[in-house]
Amino acid sequence: MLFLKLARKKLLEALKEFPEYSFYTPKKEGERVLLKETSPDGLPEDLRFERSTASAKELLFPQAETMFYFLRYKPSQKPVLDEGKRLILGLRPCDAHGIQALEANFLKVEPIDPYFKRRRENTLLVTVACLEFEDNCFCDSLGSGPDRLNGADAIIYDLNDAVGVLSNNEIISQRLKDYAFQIQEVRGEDEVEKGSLPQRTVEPLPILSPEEYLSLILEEKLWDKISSTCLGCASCTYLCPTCYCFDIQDINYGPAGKRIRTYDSCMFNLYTLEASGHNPRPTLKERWRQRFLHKFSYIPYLHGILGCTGCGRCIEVCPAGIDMREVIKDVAKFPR
Amino acid sequence: MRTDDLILKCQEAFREKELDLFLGFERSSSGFLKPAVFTSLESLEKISWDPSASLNLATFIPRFKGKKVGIIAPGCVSRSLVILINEGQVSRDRLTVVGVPCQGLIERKKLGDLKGVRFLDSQNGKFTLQRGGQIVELPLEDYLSESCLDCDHSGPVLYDYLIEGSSRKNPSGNLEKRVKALVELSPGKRLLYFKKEAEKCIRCYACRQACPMCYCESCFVESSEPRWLTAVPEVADNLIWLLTRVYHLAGRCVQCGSCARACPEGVDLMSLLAWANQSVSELFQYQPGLEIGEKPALGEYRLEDPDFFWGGGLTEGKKCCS
Ligand code: SF4
Ligand code: SF4
Ligand code: SF4
Ligand code: SF4
Repeated sequence: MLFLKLARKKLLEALKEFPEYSFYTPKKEGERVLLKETSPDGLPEDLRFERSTASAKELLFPQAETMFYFLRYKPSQKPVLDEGKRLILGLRPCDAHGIQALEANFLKVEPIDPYFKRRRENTLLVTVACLEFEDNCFCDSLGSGPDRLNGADAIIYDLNDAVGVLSNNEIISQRLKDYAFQIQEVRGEDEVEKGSLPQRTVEPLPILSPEEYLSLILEEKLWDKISSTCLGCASCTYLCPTCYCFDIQDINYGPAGKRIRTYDSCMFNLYTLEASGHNPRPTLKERWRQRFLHKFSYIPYLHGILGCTGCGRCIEVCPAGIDMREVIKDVAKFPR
Repeated sequence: MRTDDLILKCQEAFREKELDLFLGFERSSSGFLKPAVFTSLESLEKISWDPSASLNLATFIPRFKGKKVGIIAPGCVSRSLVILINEGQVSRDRLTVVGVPCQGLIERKKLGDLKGVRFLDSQNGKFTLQRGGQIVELPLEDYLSESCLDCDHSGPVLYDYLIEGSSRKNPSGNLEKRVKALVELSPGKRLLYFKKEAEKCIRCYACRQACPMCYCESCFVESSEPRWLTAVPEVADNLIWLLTRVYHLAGRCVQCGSCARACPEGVDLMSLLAWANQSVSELFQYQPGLEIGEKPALGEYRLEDPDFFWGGGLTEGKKCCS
């Protein structure tokens, strides 16, 4: 890992050294902040971006994608891979944690997902450390922000008169080197200068171990209470940077067709519905339990990282006003 | 309306009618009201009602089959309950309604950057928000949802207990005007408008889930035999989704706006729904959810109906009942 210090202007110049990449940054459009393609010439001087409505998941694991095309009697199963090279700039450290969770699922266990793999290889994810907390975020309780590198390729710190870039990526290190006035070999965030970080005044949330969470799996009353006013829509899971469940459909055009995959959601009726008509998760109680335990017990148990980034998107979007922070507290309070 | 009166009245209903549970709202961590299921007299001390509520609580009714349920209801919710009773989704005697006055509900999407801010309270046509040490007072009228601005039934039509108070008057008529303008557009331009709206839809189905009239256990979008549309959120399929839903709601929608407020993408659902309702009202002189025992407009045939009823086995041009 390399820590590079650059004058602000120099970093803006250096970012022009990535001609083969299309740039994506958060951009406000009406009510929403979207990840939009932009030119490296038009970047804001202070390199501060609003928090995007959707996370980096949108670009690395889109809501709908074609997996392959087929002809009747002649199935060609060559995956359709996205070869676009993208540099995503201006997302938050929590979003990079989200990517890490997706990597754990798609790349760390067999079968490796070729679609995600190619996109990840072709993406440079450069986050910006947060100067303040947003109304709904709680990354500090989960250890995923606001200054962590997580799954990003580089993170930018605001050092007032200069910027610090912690790079975990060969391409970025190489292309920024000549613009830096100070370069240092480091092992991680804890060894670098990070400027001023946001201060938290509220108490951190109680996070239990994967085993402790798992021990609550049969507590019907708990899951009943949590899910009692959930609508079973997918607003939360679609926007969540770590939710990766998908569904597969074939679309036929006469003798030809394509196989597509689209987001699924554990909050839907159809989720885990078996062909026999039996569903092991028949009501919202079981579905909410799946959503919570997947994030706080199964992913941490399997991959050693939390499956929630603390971004607060689900809190903002939930039409039933369900607040993940309250759920975390309710679960921790429940007698074990 | 005072919160104390509401609590006492709901507790009285809970006790007298020996209810299993009570549907209402409670304050969330952000200060905005969120739906809550109350299961005891003590828990009802937290029940609350003000313009920061968003969902139509009647949407939860079908999940409590066989239970004795209490619910607080302003005009639109009470009308949804009437329809649920008329459509056989709940029986009147299982239901205890505490009617509440309504000043309209806030559309949080209109708050823009203030969306994540704490809601404090609402009084005399204003509401207050707090961010850090800063308090902002805003006029309610500017932030109400479109459906509420247009509401012509703000007081409850069905109730067992009633909380006195004044409800919003003077519907703006804006929605009606907007529908008229859309109807007057050329078909091509109209399609363009709805394509633009459909583009935004991400098919999260929050609208359907927030709607008390969308209670089908299996929705047409989930059918694979036949498959009406794919799961890809593209304009063509999104239009099938949005338009078919509207057809299923024509003459059943009470224009509560629950779906529109729940939609994370701000898709213009209200103009389509209002258009469908206006058509039903003009053709059949029918307004949904006003009378118990009434048949749904599209669920019965009357001789005065303006069009022929084409049924199987009838020769063309012959009226079905003549
Ligand atoms: S569960 Fe909510 S807070 Fe956690 S990562 Fe997902 S959207 Fe963000
Ligand atoms: S957004 Fe809220 S209502 Fe919708 S599924 Fe998620 S928790 Fe439930
Ligand atoms: S369609 Fe929308 S406005 Fe109409 S009843 Fe359903 S939630 Fe209310
Ligand atoms: S209209 Fe809105 S709420 Fe309904 S499915 Fe589309 S995005 Fe979701």
